[in-house]
Amino acid sequence: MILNEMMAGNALISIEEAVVVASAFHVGDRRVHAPDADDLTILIDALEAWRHHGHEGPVEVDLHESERSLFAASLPWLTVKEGADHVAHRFQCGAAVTARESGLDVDAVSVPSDLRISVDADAHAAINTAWSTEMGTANVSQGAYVSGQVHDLGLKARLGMLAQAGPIWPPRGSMADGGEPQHGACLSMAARVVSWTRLIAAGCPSEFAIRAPILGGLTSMILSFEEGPSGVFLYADGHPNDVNIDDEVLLIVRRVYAQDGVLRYGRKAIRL
Amino acid sequence: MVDVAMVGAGQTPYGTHPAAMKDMWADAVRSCFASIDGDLAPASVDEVFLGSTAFGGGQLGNTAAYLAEHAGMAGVPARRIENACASSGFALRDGWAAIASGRADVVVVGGVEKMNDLTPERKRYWLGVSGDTEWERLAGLTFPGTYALMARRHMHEHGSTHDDLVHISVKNHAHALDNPDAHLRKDVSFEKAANGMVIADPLTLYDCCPTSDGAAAVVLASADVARKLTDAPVWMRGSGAASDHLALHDRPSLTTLAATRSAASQAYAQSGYAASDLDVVEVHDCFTVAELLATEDLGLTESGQGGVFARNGEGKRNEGRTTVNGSGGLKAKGHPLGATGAGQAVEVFKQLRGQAGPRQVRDAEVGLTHNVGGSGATCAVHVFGRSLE
Repeated sequence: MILNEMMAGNALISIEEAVVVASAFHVGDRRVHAPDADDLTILIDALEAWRHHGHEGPVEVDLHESERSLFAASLPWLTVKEGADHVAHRFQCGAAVTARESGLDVDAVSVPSDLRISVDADAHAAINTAWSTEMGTANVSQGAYVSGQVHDLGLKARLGMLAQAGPIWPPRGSMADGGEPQHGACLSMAARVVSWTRLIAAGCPSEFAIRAPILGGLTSMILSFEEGPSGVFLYADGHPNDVNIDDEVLLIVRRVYAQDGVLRYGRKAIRL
Repeated sequence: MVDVAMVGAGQTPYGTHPAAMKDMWADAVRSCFASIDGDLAPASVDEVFLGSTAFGGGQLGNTAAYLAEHAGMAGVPARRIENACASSGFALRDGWAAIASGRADVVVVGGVEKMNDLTPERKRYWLGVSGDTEWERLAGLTFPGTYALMARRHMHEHGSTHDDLVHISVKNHAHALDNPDAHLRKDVSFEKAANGMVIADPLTLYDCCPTSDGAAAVVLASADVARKLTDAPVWMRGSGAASDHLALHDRPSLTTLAATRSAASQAYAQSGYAASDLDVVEVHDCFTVAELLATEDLGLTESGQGGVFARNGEGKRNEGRTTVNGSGGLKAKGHPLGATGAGQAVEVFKQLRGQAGPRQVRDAEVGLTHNVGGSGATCAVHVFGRSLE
């Protein structure tokens, strides 16, 4: 095995027929998820890393019912198939994609100490408690908001970065000439910072009212894609130490917020 | 097209009021009708155009009928116009159009907002609903954030600095000291404004307007009616309006508001005036960077030179080339969302009639109001003059 890079807050191990990702975040010796990550996002991280390293082909993935639409929207290029040549595994705060016959013991993977990101136990507990509170059915919207239906209808654009012909992202409902928009390609997941800001907790939308004080606010960025469109995204898993206009970032799938008992996911930025 | 004039204008003080929305609106309407030189009663107007976001949702539906009744105009055709912070700027345009088209002779245009009777959580929710909810809001942005993104980009492209924004804040606070209707009447030093608490980096507390309660109203009349009511009408010489992408990231530039440029171009062309003719300008400075951008987009200075304009004090009352926000602007006079556009017209009315007291701009002949919705998704610009020539 060769531990060859960090990616999206994960330690990434790539061998000939396997890609393994494991969260770099640790409380003491215990591996934990990044503040915005969970089992689903790390599985998506693993499959994106797998593709990034030149692998392709159908994959067998064991998914919960609630994950299926999010998973399909996040990885539009992936063919999920029972009895496929490759299998996606999950293990504690990590995931792996291996050739079916590789025999790799993914549960034995641990992150070397020099690559670990150490997090404070109280801060980690506070974030987990905040997510639990946010996901509770008592945490309801106060009125006009992004409904579950609107969120689901936008999943392909939000998670898969699907644009309409032009390219225009996010897609519109009708063209200036009255015509119906045509589907385009997905935007690349790499982008450039056009502008950024860090909002204090009191300045954040009410959807983030529970977690923003723990995180010390939110960092938002306008990003420009090489295909032309721009978008606005949160920074993933906390705040960047340093950020500048024209920095390059990668978009990864992370939790955004929960409301009305439903967890919403989206792409967030992390510096390359 | 029928010529249109303002013949009356009034407002409540802006701030934190014990009065309810309906009572503030009634106060503003009474103040407005009291300013009319001739005799005119609220019940005799043809139409009511009311701007409000109905902040808090207390009377979200049929707001205009509810408020018309409380201000002596029961039975008059009334509607609420909602374009976020530009609501009453657009109400002004619709009221003007009703008279200019010959459909009405006298109309009431105004706005009202009650913002400070909510819990902090509810207020935070309502302050965000006029932005792009599906993309910007879920990327953590409220309006301080969107304007902070504009400010940082302007600094990157044009070399403006936060000190330039501080100059705007200090100027507008100084102007508001002479305005009894202003929300924040306090002298703010450069040092204090420069070291305010960061709200959305690079913007600080002193770059942000307050959330205000308040109401404002004007009476518009056709030329024939106006001349019967007063010897000093304030003529609406030009009206322009435009919209733009709701989300900031969809716009080709972060350092200009295309809706402002389009609306201003229309208003200038119709009025026959140019930016260089303006004596009094009330611009939408919900954040100091919004004033910086407005001075460029309205043509008071060249593109990219808004920072220099502010640094050189060119908007100071009776000192600079054109008085910018002589009332204190949104920054210090206050910003009761739906009332702001009408309140700007009230200020121009007083200035062009020489009734602005200690804040009077010398020899004010031509004025402009600039009212922006959200981060620039909508904009209404109006040009006013003391004469029709």
